[in-house]
Amino acid sequence: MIIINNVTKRFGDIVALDGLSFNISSGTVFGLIGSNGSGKSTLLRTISGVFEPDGGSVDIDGEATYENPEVKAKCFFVPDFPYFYNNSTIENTAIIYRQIYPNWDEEYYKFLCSTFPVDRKKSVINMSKGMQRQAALILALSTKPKYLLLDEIFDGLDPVVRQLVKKIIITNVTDNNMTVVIASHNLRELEDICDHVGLLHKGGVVMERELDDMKLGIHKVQIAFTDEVAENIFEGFEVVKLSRRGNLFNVTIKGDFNEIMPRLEALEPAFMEALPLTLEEVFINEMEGAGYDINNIL
Amino acid sequence: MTSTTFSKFRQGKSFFLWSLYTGKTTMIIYLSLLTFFCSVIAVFALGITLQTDLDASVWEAASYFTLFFTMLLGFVFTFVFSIKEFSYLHDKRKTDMFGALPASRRTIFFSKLAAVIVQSALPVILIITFLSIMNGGTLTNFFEMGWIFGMPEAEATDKNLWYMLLEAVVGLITNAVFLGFLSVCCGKTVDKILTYLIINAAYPIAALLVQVLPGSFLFGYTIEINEFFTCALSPYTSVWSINPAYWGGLTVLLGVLCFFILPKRKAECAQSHFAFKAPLIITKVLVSFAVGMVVAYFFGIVFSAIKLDKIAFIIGWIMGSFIAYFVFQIIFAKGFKRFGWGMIPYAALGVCFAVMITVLLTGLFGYENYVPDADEVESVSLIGDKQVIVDGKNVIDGTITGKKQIEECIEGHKEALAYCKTHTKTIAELTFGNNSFDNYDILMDDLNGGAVKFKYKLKNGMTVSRDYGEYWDSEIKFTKSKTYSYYTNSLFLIDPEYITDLYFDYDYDEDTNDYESEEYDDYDAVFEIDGETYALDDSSFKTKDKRIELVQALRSDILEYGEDSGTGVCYVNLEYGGTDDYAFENDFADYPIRSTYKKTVELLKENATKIGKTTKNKVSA
Repeated sequence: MIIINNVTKRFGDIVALDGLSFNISSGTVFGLIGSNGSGKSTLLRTISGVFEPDGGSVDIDGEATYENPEVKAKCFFVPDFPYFYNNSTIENTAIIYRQIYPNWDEEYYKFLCSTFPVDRKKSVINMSKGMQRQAALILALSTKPKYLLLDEIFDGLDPVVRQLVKKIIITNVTDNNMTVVIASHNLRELEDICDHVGLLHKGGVVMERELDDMKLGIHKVQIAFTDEVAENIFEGFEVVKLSRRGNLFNVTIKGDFNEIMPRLEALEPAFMEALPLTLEEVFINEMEGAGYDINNIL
Repeated sequence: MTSTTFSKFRQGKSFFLWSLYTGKTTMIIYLSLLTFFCSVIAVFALGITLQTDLDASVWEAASYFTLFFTMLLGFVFTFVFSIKEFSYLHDKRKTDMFGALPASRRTIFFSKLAAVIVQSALPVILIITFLSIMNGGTLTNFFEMGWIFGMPEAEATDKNLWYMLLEAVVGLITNAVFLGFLSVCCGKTVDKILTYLIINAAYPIAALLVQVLPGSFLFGYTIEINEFFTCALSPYTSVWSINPAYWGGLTVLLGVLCFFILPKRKAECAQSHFAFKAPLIITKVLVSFAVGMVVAYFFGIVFSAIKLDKIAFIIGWIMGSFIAYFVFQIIFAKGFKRFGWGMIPYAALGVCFAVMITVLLTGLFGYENYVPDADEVESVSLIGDKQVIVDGKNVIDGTITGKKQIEECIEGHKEALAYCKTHTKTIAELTFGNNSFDNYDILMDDLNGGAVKFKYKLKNGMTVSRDYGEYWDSEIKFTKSKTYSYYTNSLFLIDPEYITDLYFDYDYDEDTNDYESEEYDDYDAVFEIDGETYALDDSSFKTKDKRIELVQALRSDILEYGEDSGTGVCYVNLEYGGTDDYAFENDFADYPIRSTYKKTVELLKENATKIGKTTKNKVSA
């Protein structure tokens, strides 16, 4: 279990993490989402022990990570731009990981090399961005980490490899109780794989909960009326977003589903349907709530 | 509890081997260059030995040049390997990789440091070991080729190659550790390079000029350049240094510092700012001070001509130091960010300089005017610590202990001081007139080098030294005294027993040069006295008794008539020596024989060959 307790991280005058607190349970896939500069990558670096928190603590299985090789041996951090030496290949980079990580699994390494469409004897530095990420992931998974920290891992991957990555991650979570923390802006991918999501904004956590719970508190409904209706027909609802085309409304409303739907039916619509809410919509909604000026940006 | 990581040693070994593995291309380049240079050197050495009259053999010459280039390349590649290995501290992507690895920062750093040392030092060790074995452990004739290592010819002796190997290895390790220390402190590789170069270049300049500075402002100050102090914070010099114990100690100290500061180093400094500010401040202050001093001396010397040297010196320092500090502040801070805070060390430096100059201009707390009382003085020497070594022992003793002579010296000291006070000397005169700059006496007849200097040993055990330079000695009466002549001239201070040979030569005065013609080729010196021409050859005074007789006559005449009286007759060159050919620091001295030296001239006439009357320029006794 990862316990993030009141963690603060400053870079000069900039507060990247501001008293951040939440837990990440073992065996879960935790999605870190947030605006640019919200502190996602900083949090991953702090969890992995690259950065030392200025305040608070990050504990993995009850122990601090910073300068703690015992704990770090259970983690693997794949940054947004993984580093490879000039002319290094997956094969020769594996030499050092093999010697440093006590849980290195040679069979699994060979399996991954044969599964991912990359040449393990080719210079990594000359590979495409997506292939470099695959190379990093092969090496990461071969160390059999208990905690896998991934920063923008889907960036640059083609749809087939994205599915492969998700599949391998889920297999590891299921079979090995691996905990995965993924920071990404690709909410569509996160939605498929994550069971928990933490939303960061300006170094603080806006919300952190199970994905399903997150969606439970907000609902999108398409609703049509036969007659002309007043602009304020949804008064009394906690409307997050409202769009209208004639008498057809798309409305996003906060609240309990079982309470909202009867109230909407009471408005006697000609047609009403609850639509699935995407993580992106939840993200935008929550960010708006956190003071993010969505309208100006969009 | 079962450990989930490998042992530190095993991890360290892995990082070490990994560094060697990833650095193999650089190593190949290093070895290729070394092979190339050694081959070229062998040919070069062959050329030198064939075209010059060096005593060194081809093999010796090749060994010297190989040593030089091996050590130079070793130093350069220490730098290259250090940049490569420690870039993980300065590159964000590498920082992510290494920071997340399950190993402590210390394990990673010291493994990489070991790799830098091994990679850069191994070829040097192999080559010097090879040369040591081939040369039997010692390179002879080092005195002829010591210049390759920046060693003055007079100080060079045979060189023990095994000791040289120790020096080279310690020097390379010092550089590697110093570069490692800077890597930990700096956030960017470019900052590390700049810091390293500036500290190595600016420190010796600053240290040298700090030692010269009092001599440029104070009358009587003896400028003494301490080689150790001048090089102490310039690790580059450790490669050529003769003080491996000090560099070893500094290496250990820097290593310990790295050990303690590594865990406190913030990873986010990579590609950003200095992790620890000390090297940054030291670098800016050093370069500022050094540039300030160079400009100050330039201004001071230029404006000495119009006696505005001191104010020009101060203005020069302010200009030079400020511009240097300003430029490097902007370079290191990447602009004007926190400019005010960044200027605080400069302000502190300015205050220190102001205090230092004020103290010097006001006579260094009475230093300038201090002349000891005769009652306080146990002894005094007019030649300082000068020694003439024959067969391993000093054969001169210029110590004056007689009360009357001590009083005479003290009066002479007061006269010199008073003279200086009334003849204000500029920075240029004081700096370049200070005789202590001249470390190598060509002639040893004037053992004080023509300067007016006093070295007192006080009864309380303290020593007081004053050196008034050489420009004004002829205007100070004390320099005409018998005491001065006796106690500053090797003719008196060295027992004539040590004279092994003597040679005559023409006087250098223009009016007697006419004798240097083919007509007198058979003679070593021809002189004319009272209308008669006499010829001397070196065999005239070859016996020991004759030599002693000549020296005693010369001593008597100098004391009676002074050193500069009358016109020149000829020169006598006395050769001193012992059984050890190279033990004698200054093995000859030229003494002019003057026409006023009655006893000496008479002795010359007795032993010379009379070759008749002459129509050439006459010398009158």
